[in-house]
Amino acid sequence: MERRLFNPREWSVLLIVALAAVIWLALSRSGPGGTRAIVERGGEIVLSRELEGLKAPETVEIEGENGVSLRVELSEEGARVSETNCADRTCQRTGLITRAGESAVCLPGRIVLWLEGPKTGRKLDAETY
Amino acid sequence: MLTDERKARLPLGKRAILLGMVFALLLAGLIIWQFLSREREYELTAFAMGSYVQQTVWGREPETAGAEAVQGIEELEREISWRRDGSVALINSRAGGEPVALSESTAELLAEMRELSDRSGGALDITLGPVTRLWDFDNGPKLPREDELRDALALTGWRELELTPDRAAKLEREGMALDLGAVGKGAACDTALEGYQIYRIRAAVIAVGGSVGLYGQKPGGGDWNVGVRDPKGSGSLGVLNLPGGFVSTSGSYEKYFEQDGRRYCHLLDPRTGYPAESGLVSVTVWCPPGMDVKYPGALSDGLATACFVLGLEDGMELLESYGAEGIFITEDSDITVTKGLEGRFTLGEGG
Repeated sequence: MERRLFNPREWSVLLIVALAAVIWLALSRSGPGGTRAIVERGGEIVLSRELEGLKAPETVEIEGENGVSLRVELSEEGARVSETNCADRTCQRTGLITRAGESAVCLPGRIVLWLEGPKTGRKLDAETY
Repeated sequence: MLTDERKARLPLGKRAILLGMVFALLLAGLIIWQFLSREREYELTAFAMGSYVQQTVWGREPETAGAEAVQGIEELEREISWRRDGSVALINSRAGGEPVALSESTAELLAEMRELSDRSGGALDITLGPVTRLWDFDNGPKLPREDELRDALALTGWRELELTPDRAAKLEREGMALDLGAVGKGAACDTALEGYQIYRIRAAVIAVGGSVGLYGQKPGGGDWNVGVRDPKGSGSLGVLNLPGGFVSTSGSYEKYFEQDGRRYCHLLDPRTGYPAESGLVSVTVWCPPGMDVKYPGALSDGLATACFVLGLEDGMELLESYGAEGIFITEDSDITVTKGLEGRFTLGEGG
């Protein structure tokens, strides 16, 4: 008589358990991804773009409050405000931001460009300027 | 007797099921309890005090603590901004007249900042209002006429801010005006951290513009990483690794205008009425935890301005007298770090 380790019903249970384990592992290892450029306008996120894998620099026009508009340039290296019609120009002068936690703020237009990174690893908790 | 007990028992299979159910219930209860009582991380951004406010809060009620912090900052702004209708605006409008009764917190803030004005020899002067209004860096900055600047400068002087023991304040002469713009963002960080304590928050970091408040032990261990803006380039120059406290920076790159080919930065020397020319482009000040002042955040903010005006040597001396630390960056890009920050500041990547 042939000896089997598990009967067919037990095999199906084992298969479900194994499948669940694989899904759980895949989800837990997918991680937070790389650095993302986020643009907030008046407290609401209007743009969120993964920077890793950008083959060429991208530019995005953002309309802010008080007639302020600015151009955001995104690349694998980081993000910057490349142009603005705001007299203040503080955000443009901030230049290229490359590290998670850094930001370029346009107060008159209520627009904030910042970089978001993985929850773990090297990132800034805050910035002083 | 033994036979009766055996009869009362459930069959083995059913007992096992019952036991399994009890364990499952216990486990479910434990998971639910853990979920409800766990500490969460919450990020909140807002615009307050003419600045971008960023908070990351860890605790059981981070949403409430974060929202309360923003509300507290808005109330503080109303109280200490000369543009609003709180105590500072009232002191200004009654200058040369009747004293204004103050809350305990406002009286303490004014007392500590007047002391800083004194100890810095007027490199920070909280009565610079008549001069800052002429330059109007926030709305339409312009180079004032020499005669109007001279007249405005004659209406300044922190020694003429009278603070009485019964918590009232007055400016001695009509036309004088307080301006707490140089310490407001730091004071806002103080307000937020006070709130975190009330809500028993485990850890938090708040940035009001470029002033930063660090509260509690950073989750996951280690020091907080605070980037220091590069005054001449892009992004951060380096990273400060700090256990807590308050950090503020004053830099000539942050706000300026150009007229007739000359650049005018917003950091005014109260002794001349013109932008400070001390050979520095940026000063970052850290007030470590445990300083014996009520407003260490406002102090870090005010010290950064005072040190920028004073220059490297006098600035370092002032910091030492307070037990604060700093990073001085000159126009020639020389970087000087005070002793207490040696090993805590890393150029470049850091972290």
